[in-house]
Amino acid sequence: MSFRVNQVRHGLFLDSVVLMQVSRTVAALPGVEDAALMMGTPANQEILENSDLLVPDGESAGGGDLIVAIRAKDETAATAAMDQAVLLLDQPVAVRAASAAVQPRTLRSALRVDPNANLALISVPGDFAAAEARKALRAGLHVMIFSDNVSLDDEIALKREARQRELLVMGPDCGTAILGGTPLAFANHVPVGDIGIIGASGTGIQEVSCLIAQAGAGISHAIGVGGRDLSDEVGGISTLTALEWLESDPKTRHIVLLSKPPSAAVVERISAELDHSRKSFTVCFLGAQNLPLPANAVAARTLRAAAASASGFQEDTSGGTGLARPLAGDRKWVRGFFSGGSLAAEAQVIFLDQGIRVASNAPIQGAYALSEVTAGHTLLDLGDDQYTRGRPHPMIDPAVRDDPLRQALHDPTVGAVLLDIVIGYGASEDPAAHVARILGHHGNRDPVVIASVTGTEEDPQVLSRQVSILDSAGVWVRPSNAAAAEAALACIAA
Amino acid sequence: MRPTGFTMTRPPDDRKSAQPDQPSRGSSFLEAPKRVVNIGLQKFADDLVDQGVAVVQVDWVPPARGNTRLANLLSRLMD
Amino acid sequence: MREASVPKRINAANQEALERLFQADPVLVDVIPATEAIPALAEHMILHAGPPIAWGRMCGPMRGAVAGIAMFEGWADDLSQAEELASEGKFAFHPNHHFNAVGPMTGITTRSQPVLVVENRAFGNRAFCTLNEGLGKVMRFGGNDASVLARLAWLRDVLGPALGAALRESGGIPLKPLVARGLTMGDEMHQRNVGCSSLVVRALAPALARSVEDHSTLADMLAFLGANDQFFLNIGMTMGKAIMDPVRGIDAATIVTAMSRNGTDFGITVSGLDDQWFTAPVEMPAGLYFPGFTAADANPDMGDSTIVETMGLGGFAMAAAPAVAGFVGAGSAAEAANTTRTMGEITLARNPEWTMPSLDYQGVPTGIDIRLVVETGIAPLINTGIAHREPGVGQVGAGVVRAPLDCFEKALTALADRLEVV
Repeated sequence: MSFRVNQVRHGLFLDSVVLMQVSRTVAALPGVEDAALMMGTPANQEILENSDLLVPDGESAGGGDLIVAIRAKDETAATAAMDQAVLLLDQPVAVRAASAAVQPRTLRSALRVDPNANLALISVPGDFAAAEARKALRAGLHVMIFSDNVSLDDEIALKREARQRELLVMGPDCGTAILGGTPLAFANHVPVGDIGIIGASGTGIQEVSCLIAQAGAGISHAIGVGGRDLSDEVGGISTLTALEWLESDPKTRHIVLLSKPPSAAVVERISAELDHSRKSFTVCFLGAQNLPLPANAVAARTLRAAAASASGFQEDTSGGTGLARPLAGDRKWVRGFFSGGSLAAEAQVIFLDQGIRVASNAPIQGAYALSEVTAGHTLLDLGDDQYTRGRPHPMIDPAVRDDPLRQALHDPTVGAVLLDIVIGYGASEDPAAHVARILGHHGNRDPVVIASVTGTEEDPQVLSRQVSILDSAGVWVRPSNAAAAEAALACIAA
Repeated sequence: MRPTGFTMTRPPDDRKSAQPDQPSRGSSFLEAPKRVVNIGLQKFADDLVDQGVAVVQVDWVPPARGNTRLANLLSRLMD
Repeated sequence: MREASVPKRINAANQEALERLFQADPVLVDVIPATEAIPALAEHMILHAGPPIAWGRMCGPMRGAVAGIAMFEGWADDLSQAEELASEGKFAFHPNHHFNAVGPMTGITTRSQPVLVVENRAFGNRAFCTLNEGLGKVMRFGGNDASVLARLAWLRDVLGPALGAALRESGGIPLKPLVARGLTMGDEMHQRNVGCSSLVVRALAPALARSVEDHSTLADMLAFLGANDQFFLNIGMTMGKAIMDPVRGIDAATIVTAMSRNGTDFGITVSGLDDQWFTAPVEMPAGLYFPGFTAADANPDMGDSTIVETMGLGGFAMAAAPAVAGFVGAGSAAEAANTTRTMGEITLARNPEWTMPSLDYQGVPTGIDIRLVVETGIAPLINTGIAHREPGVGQVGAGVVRAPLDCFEKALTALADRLEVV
């Protein structure tokens, strides 16, 4: 037998929407069949009557009074619900946490928020990146395109339009830039100084800038131009713009150029550009030989050599030979798993320069493609397109490296594992801890795990902390990616 | 038709005789405070906020809900 | 190449459209019989809300309203005869919009009913709408019993003429300043009209008193007006029609000139596409219900009242009416403000005359651009009452509903064709 109860609150006015919300809450209480909170006007009383909610207590309400009407399965439930309803009415209105103001949905409305924006940083899926970049250029912004899988035709069209508008397109596939001391996307906190970098590779820029920082020097600006800028088709449009800018930048004394080796035609054109400059250059086209360079430019075969040339420190190429552990028995092979493409390339350069054959999914000149070999040393670029279609880049999601790493640790033919750990902005919170977790109790067992950390003390993850975590996990940590590759070679030679 | 060849525009003077280290429009941008519109990964905007850089995060979704026919029409109807 | 100038043509056309929109000077000038306002309104002709629709597809409340109005006009002796005549095709059904009119919910307009007249003095055009009947069992929710018809008769014979006389005597009420004031009083002119309704009654009362000799009749009128928080809804809608009609037919303009529903289809018209309707099935409102009712009782979305959102009010001005934010998510005032901001993504301008104190007097987002709707996937948000799906029961709740994106996508494709863009 249903039980109805009404309470009248004299002179209490609440907005009808608030009343409807409270009604809904009360109606959902245990044992309640229906509930309503309404002002006591005749029209509302009729509604309550028709809903079988009104009892004589409620009928006494006037238009300015509030009726709380409840029908429940029995008196106990009705009373409990009425107590709850009264509580809801009486508690001070909790100031609901204001939801964050909505973010703009388009570049257009973003520019209404900040009409003085001067840079668009684009990391949407590749199919959409070119359209966003075009809009940004037409709005007068410089553009950094982190996205990869942008078509070559789109890249050329964008860079031509940018050139016309005296704007810079960094990318596509540009992971790193440091402009006026501001790290963008994946970049490290490095001191400001007089060395400029123009790089077709993100991790190349990261490694070189961090080694320069280690040497006590600093970076004026590090401009990423994207992996294809120095191709024949694109012809170095962004590199040219970057060279012009750094030429006229008072802070820049010396400029480092980083790329995988361009074609001879492009090298020649770059060389001609450098010849016109008043500044000095270090040119690192990873693994390139016999570059025709003008007098104000020096060639460097590795990233470490480039950093050394620019900042004047002496490279230590000893490879920690004294600490090297010889590979045991059948454990013949080195397996390198790199999140940075240039770091994988640099490791290949170091192997090949020592006459050691190596295979890669992104082979440099002189290295084998993976498909060409059945056994041997392998140095893999896990950030290569074939791995990143529809999957996160290993710099964004370190888990991409987990399975290959585990497999290598349990592979009885593997003698040494090579890893790069890249920290800084954009990177995950604790890359070293992630690797340590995968290594688990591997400790000092075979295969030996050799790593370097690309980063600085000022990075959020703190370089020395990351080194210490790896060290405690049994990893042999080397001071640069080049040194790590040399350490692996030392293990082979020992 | 894929274009080949290097297109370069350069001022006619040999740069070596031009005034050294005059800030150009480009290098002014390099030095100027960056004001960023971040379209994509929230992490990039968060890192910039941590460094005190002015950034507006765009809550981006594929144009026309991913309908490429409509997206193409839009690109011709809007500038 | 012509195609290169298409965005420029569109921008120039939209600029013209916005100028016309903001130049509007809508004045409530009269209440007259519909047949005087719309000479084409013949016997057996019934105007309804929304895009064109045939009897066979009409929802319950609209059928109920049609049957009721047929009796009211003397075209049928009872409801079942009325329905028979309707299904035999004896009535000519047309959208209000085709005759410079609008109507809330079922929106039924026929020759004898008194209609509000709003004149847009900047362009000389006029728009019309029936008087709001009040709450509960009314024809706009499909009510059609004796009490409904009696009230319609009272409106026709008593209130309508009196309001007309009062308006003529007063020289008319300029509506833009009144709406501006309402926005500062918590109105958004779709679900919340109590501020503007009060201001209108206050403005009319002296002239009304002078034009009505009998005190008790006057008292009935004031009681009727005073009891109806939504009285201004119909006036605001008429104003919207008067403002938007001069914006129609500007070649290449992508601004929406009307949004409307008939309980079955949602339709939009776009300036550069003249009076062509682009339709899709209406959506179901989401909201809160009066005691005894649930979502299962709700009728699909209905009415010409979305003319209000078309001019930047209603859901677009939700920041001015946080009270209705309860229908949007958790319902904080901040969410109401976010709704207005989001509508800013799909509009081209802000109305300098209609501003919202809670957003630092930013103007309401105005000029819905179909390109922006399609690009962002953000559909216009509408604050709406919810009718019972059975005819004649009345309002059962209130909430929000979206305009279907399909309408805008179809319109965009048609416009691209028209401009020879592939």
